Amino acid sequence: MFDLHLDPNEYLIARERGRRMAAEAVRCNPDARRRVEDAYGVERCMQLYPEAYPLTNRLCSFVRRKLR
Amino acid sequence: MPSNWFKSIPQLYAAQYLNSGTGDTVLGGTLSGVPSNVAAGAGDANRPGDRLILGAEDATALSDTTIGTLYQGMYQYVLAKSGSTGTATRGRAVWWDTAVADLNYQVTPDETGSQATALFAGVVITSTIAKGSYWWVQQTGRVFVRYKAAMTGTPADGQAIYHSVAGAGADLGTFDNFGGDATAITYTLFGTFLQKYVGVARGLPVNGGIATTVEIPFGVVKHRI
Repeated sequence: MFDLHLDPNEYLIARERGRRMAAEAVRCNPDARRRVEDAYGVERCMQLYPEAYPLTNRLCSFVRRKLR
Repeated sequence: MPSNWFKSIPQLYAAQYLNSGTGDTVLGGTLSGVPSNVAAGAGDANRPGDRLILGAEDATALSDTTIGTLYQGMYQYVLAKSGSTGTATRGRAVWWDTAVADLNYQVTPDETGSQATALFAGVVITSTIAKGSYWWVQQTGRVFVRYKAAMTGTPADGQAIYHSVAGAGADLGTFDNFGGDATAITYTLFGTFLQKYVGVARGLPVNGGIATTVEIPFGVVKHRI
């Protein structure tokens, strides 16, 4: 999809800024969090936005995955 | 681009979502409550020219669904011209304003001036960006657009979409399919269409509506790095 019209570093910066802004929305906005979790699953959200979830939740998720 | 890896998280402040509110009246956004000993300005957050690239999950998290849905793509933080005649409303194109230096990242909804419609800057994603306010516009990826009230050709899913270049009024900054894919092209037309090309329709375009999206590839917007 991308022809990297941007310098690769700028692409990475913009991508990370987008992820951080979304993580902030997931952390602070219950409606946004519910919508993303419903659409993509809680575990996917934990992987994408670890800063939005407490460490204990992430550890439980990790153990669950290992036990499967 | 005045951004870097270590900058603080982009803040939304008054607007909870990327496509809500009418823009930041103060560069970077204002705090609704100012703690003591903290400067009111939030200029270390968003700066004009900052970019975001959103994945599917990010776009879902940042969408105010009462306004519309955002999709994957690239967004840039720009300043809407304070003295523009038209208003930057959702689904319409805005243009780089050549009356000021490029580093201001100023856009205008007006299809006049030396830049006219040659310098496409992005599509408005919030209901309105108030004149003189800062907000995000979408530059690539899938985005809801407003089509011309009476499109030139018969609408079809997947056809090429162009700027309507309607000049002013209700069709300002709208999009059109022109003759659709069946129009015989001449070299004169080729140059014009190349300049006005935006992307391909995803979903059936609706006259005067904002019901469907366009996929804008990289390189169509005249990027300000």
